[in-house]
Amino acid sequence: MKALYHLLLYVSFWSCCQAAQADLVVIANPQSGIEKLSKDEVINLYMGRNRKLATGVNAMPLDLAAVNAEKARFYAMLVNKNLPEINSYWARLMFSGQGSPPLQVETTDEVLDIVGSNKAAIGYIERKKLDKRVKLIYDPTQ
Amino acid sequence: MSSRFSRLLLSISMLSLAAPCLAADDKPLFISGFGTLGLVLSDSRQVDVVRDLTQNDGVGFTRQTDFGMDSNFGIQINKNINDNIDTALQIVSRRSANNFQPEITWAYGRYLPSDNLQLRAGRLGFDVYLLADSRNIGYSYQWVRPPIDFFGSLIISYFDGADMIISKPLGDGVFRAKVFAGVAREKTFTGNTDEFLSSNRSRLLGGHIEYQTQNWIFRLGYTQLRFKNDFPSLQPLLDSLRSPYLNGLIPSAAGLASDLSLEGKKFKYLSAGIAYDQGPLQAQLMLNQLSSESLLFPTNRAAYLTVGYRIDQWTPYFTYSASRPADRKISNPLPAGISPDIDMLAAGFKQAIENQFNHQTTISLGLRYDLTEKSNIKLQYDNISIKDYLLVRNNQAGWNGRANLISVAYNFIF
Repeated sequence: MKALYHLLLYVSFWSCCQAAQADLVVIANPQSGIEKLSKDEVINLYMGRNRKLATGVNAMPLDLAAVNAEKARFYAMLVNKNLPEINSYWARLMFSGQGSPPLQVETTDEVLDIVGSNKAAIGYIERKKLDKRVKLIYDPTQ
Repeated sequence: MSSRFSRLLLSISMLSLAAPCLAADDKPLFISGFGTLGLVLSDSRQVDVVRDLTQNDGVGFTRQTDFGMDSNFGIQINKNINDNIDTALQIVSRRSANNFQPEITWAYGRYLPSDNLQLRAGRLGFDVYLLADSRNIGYSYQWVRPPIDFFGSLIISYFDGADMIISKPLGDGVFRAKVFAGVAREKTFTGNTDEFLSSNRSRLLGGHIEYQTQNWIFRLGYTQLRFKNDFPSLQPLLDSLRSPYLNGLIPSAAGLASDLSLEGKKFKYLSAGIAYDQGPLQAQLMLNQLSSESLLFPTNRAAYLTVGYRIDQWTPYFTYSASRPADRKISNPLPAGISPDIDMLAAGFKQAIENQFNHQTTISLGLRYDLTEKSNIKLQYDNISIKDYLLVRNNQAGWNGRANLISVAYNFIF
């Protein structure tokens, strides 16, 4: 019974927090040739299932270091997983020759710099940090 | 110095030679690694439980508290040559037939021209686990060790050869087909102290088809191994069956020896698996069947079901696994009562086959705790009951076929 209660608690926790996570958006370079990505396409790129963008170039997804609260929120929103699970997922792939995790950068400003200057880079940032250097390609609220 | 060790030194020195050149071509080496420090306790001193058949002794009879069964350490080096080509080297030390002597488990080049095609050649992992082609990375799965009843009888973990994966988006998911071919290199203990069964130079051929969606993976696989070498302890029995004296009395005896021998015989491994992964819930169901053209290895089947549910840093999990012989009947073509010698030979023949039956059941309960981003600790209880002795060592007369294990494992990656 207690387990069921916990389960319910978690289900309600996750559903309540979907709204709070919605302020994260996925961005790319304005010259990337990408108009919009679906949630599945974002998952495929961030989880290493696909590497190429529609334009044929290798995508360069950017991740944030775990000290940034956005990282945990991004993966909770995307695949409903916490960071240790994301790490063990990548350990499984990396140590079985199926790919390597997204490049990790220290701050959101770095994400903006790299995406702004690299056609293959994609990243996630808080909506309020959007600027002219980058283009919004996935908005979870839509 | 063993050739394996010198090969290891060679590859390390090649890498160190490569290292200074890197700055120039701006393609760095990625060095990563993994390890497990595991402790296992058994309540039975009458049998050794082992992680797999490559381990000659384990926990229980040889030692009641064992640091060696699950502990391992591995280093992996990856290098990108260009956008479409990369290379990898992995070296692992674990308790196996070479007892913690480091082994090169991978050394391959990979060509990835698109998301739909991948080609690799070199030393490759034999991927029979649904979620990864290595079973050594304790950090990456829920359990302390992959279910013994299911994976313990697999004697191949890598091979020298090539593989190809073709993938295509299909519906909401991705369809993949993989084929591989090569030669096996490893050896395994036979259960008799210091006696090995070598799979070296046996030809391996196989593949799988897989369908993956956001939450599900379905896979069907088939592998065949054409055995190159014979079972050493079988030799006296084969010699007796081939003796002119016996064939004078029973003309079919020599044919029986060829049916029993492993040399040139095909082993077939069929597997099917389903994995489900939805947020905090993870579940897997796998089935397999191992059969052979040799009379010596009767068909065995195995299955496991595992379910885990994460609550913050804690993931409690449950696993049920079992293996069973498909058929216990042993036809005995040697007529009884001709002579005591022949009766003894018939008994030896029957015993040799019975030793390969696999009837074992395990119920496991465990808890994984995520310590840091790159380490976790697990506590697991296993209740094992055994009717055949294929997957255990040093079973003593009078053992009741039961063992309970408590394991603690600290796992990390870097």
